[in-house]
Amino acid sequence: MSDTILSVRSVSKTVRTANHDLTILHDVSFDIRQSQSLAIVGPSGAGKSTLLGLLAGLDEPSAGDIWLGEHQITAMGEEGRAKVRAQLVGFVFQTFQLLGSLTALENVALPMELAGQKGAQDRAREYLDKVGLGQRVTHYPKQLSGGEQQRVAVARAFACSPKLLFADEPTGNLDQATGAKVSDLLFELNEQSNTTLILVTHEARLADRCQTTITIDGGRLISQVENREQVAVTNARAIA
Amino acid sequence: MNWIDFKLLYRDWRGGQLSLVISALVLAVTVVTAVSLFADRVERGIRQQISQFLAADLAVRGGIEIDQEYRLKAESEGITTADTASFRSMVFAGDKNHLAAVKAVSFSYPLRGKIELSDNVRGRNVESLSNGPAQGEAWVEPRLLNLLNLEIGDTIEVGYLSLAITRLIVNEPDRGTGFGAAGARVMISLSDLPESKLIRPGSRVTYRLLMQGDERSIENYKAWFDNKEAKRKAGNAEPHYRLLTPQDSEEQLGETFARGRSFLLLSGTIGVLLAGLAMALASHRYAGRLTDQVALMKAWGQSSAVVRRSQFVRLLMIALVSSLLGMFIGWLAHYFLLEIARGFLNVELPSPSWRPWFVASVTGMVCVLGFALPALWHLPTIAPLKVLRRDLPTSLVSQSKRLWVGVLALFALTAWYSGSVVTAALFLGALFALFGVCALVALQFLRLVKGLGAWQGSFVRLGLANLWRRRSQTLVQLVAFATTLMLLLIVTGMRTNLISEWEAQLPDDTPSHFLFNVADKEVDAVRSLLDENQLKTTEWYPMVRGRLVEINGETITRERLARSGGLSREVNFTQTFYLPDGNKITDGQWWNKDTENLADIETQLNPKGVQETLNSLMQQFSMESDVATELGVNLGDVITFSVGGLTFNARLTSIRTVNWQNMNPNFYIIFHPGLLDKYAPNWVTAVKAGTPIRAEGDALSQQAPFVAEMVQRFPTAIVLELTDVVSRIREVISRVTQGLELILLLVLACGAMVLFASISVSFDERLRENAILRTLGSSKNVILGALAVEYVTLGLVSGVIASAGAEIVLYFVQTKVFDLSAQWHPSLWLLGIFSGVVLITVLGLMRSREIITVPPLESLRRLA
Ligand SMILES: Nc1ncnc2c1ncn2[C@@H]1O[C@H](COP(=O)(O)OP(=O)(O)OP(=O)(O)O)[C@@H](O)[C@H]1O
Ligand SMILES: [Mg+2]
Repeated sequence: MSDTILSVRSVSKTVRTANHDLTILHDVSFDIRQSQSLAIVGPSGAGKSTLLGLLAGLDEPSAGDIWLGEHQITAMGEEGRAKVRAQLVGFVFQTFQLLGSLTALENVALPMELAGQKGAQDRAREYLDKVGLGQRVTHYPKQLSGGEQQRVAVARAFACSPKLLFADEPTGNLDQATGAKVSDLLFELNEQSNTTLILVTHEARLADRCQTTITIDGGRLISQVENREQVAVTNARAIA
Repeated sequence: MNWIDFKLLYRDWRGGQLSLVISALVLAVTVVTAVSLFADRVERGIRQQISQFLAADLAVRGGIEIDQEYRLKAESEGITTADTASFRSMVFAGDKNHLAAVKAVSFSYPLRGKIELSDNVRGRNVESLSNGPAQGEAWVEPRLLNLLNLEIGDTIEVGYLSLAITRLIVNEPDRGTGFGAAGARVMISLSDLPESKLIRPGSRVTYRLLMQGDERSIENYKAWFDNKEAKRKAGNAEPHYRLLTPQDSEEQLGETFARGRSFLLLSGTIGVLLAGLAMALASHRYAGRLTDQVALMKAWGQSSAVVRRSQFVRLLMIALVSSLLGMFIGWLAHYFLLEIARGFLNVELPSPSWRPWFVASVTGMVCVLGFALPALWHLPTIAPLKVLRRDLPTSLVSQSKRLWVGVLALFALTAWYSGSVVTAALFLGALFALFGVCALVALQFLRLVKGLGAWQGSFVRLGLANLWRRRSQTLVQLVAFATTLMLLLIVTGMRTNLISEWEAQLPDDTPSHFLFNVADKEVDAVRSLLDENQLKTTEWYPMVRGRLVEINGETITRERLARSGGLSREVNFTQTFYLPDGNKITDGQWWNKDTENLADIETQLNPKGVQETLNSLMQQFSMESDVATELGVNLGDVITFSVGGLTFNARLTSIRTVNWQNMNPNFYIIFHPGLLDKYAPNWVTAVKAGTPIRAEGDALSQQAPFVAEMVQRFPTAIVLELTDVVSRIREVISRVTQGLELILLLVLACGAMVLFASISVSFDERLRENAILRTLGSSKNVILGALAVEYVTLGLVSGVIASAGAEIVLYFVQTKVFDLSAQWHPSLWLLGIFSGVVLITVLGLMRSREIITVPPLESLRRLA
């Protein structure tokens, strides 16, 4: 399909350890279309984070190809991939990855400032408002609760309007209620700005909200399930 | 350059991650700026004075009156001339007297520069004149008025003349630099000189013919003089005169000052070293803090090149801002140094040149590149994947590589400061050796202390265990503090103790006065004068000045002569039959009765060769052992000497050590009696007038009664009071050490930086541990107690090491340099241990305040 934004073909990842080669991913292939959401699930140590890193162009696979939009990132060097990341990709992490010496506002504005965008601060304020932290812009991460910090991280990821948003266990460190709030936010923003959402999660409830769920075990893709309900909703919206 | 880099830098600063890096850098630049500004201004001030030093464009100087032909030549070249004659002489006012530095000048003096004069003691209403005093007038230095209880308008007696004091000298162009003559200046007219009858045959007078003219005539004169000199040399005759040019003096002083400057800078280098260490530690921590930021930047698509550039921009900014700040503080600090130096540096200081600023900014830059950059170098290579896998290792530049870069940077700076790679290597080598020894000793102490902790209460054990567990950090802190404290103690010890100990250990019959320049025919009269006053003297020695010309037929070069610390171009010779007190023969044999007997025997055997034999037996001399070693002469070598234009040979037959401490007349070179007979020697002796040498303070001492009589009856003889000399030495030492102390205090601040930085290194770990301890139920007091135990122990150990080191150094200075018997310095130990404990405990607790005050929950959350 022409609006495929991410395409993975026979991707394997092997790492060299002290005495032998360890294959973390075996021959993984799948596609995902623009503005869809994808959940990667699987037991601990299955290779989910490794896969996410490859998809986001943070690392190189040992074999296979990955296309991000029209870019074949597996044919690029780190500098090339960096450019693609700058254009297309945003992140939300399990551990938030907020910079402690920056206020919430500065944290959100930073990627835009680095990209040389004008009006970064205004846009950051806007997104902090959206995640309900309009009153906390001058607070430092250590002054915010875990859920608030994760919301700042979400605002930061969305403020750059990435085509693809990668999230590794975005609710992993949060209690259920807070986790639910953050995931609401993720999907809300996903709908508003047509961002493709790719997230790694343990939580069935979060996975269920995605249109596609792929399960990784022992480095192999063992199932790819289209969530009917979600597809229906999306189609309905597409028609309307 | 990107605006965002400044923003990032500002945020780092705001987050407190940079303050240590910056303070350390600021301190390093401060030290270097203060020292080099001071050195530069003093040096330039003195150089500037030197150009007026001659008060002329050219001068001929001699110990005898300047011959007419030199004057005629000047006239024929159209050169203006003036004359001065300087000598020391007693001046009188009522029943008071003073050994003054008299200078008789012609009215046209000075030819260059001006004499600054005042009509009141406070030095107001200064008037600049370019002529000398008129007949019947005396211009004097203000302190003479105090010394002799005089006022302007009173008269003083100078030789057979009574002169009215009409003005006070504030400054004279050719006063000379630095340490000045002991006596107060009295300037009189040259036309008064004959009538004063001050100058007699044998008087020690320095005559100068000053000249001023256009460049060409001056050049002509120089050429003429050099030509004349060359001919004289060819005829092997002794020169009576020397040509003085401003450049000559400048060259000599230039060298001295280059040495002084590099000495000061070297002591500053210790500060740079410590600050560099602190910077490296702080930068390491800063790099840790930046890791997340860089990983994120890279995940967001910033290339390594961009990250690298951003890093350089930030470091450049840090270097720039810190250097500017450091230069400013250093500029303030150098005024303190100048204040201290002012007492003995009577020069007007020009504004500094660009050089100190250059030195300071290069230092700042090199510090950043050598100490901060290596710790941050790996940042751009951080893999973007680190945002997902935090455990991914960072490829830190290896510790040994960082160490080497740091040492190299330091070495480059030191070599540049001192202008010599060898000096730099020796200096740094010695410094690192010192560090090594300190570290070893400190490690033993820590072992000991760890053992003590085993049977102590809970928090004591905890504190001591912490010290041992983090021993590499503990050692860094210990070494940094112990060495700086040690240097400070050494300098303080020298200032406060050494001179007084030296004085206290002088035997009671140490001479109090030196008599010089007593003419042959005056000796008996002076002796009886001293007898009448019931004064004892040491031996009387005949003295002539001469030079060493050849060793075994080989001309002694200037360089070879310069190798010996004691010998200058002109040396005092004596001859004596008995080995002087305090001298010991270490090699060869002192002449004794046997030589006379031998001569007798030989004369009997060989009546014809009498004269020959006598000569060959007489033709021997004895040399002081240090000088002999430095010159590289051995027993049996034949040296050609030149006295008063005549040369003769003598063989080295004995080598002696000399006890310079006994304050007797001592000589490097002593001839066999008879060898100097024909050179009309002057006599010298030391008088034991019982006046104690130990004059406190810098007040000029009361003159012993015999001095006035001496000077009146024998105006050409020179009486030197040792008290004056000692108080002058004391003054110089005290000022030099005060200046050093100030620099070392800055260095100590650098040591404090090291303490801070190394506490910071373990800060997160401590925060976590203490949070855990507190959640486990330890009270705040236990943790505070443990910290206090840690710092007190650290302070105690550094204090003990510092005091012990200082004591050892002082021991060697006492016994080897001053030849004193060794002595403990309990006050030094007290000071060392007290300041070590207080400084480290206060600074340490200050820096670790947060560990205790931040609630444990917050600590844990902060570290999450
Ligand atoms: N560079 C590497 N070197 C060695 N082993 C690696 C490396 N990267 C990943 N692994 C291993 O590969 C496996 C998969 O790791 P990955 O982080 O992708 O798991 P995961 O599915 O994200 O697990 P979790 O749910 O616990 O986060 C793990 O066993 C991990 O230890
Ligand atoms: Mg994972």
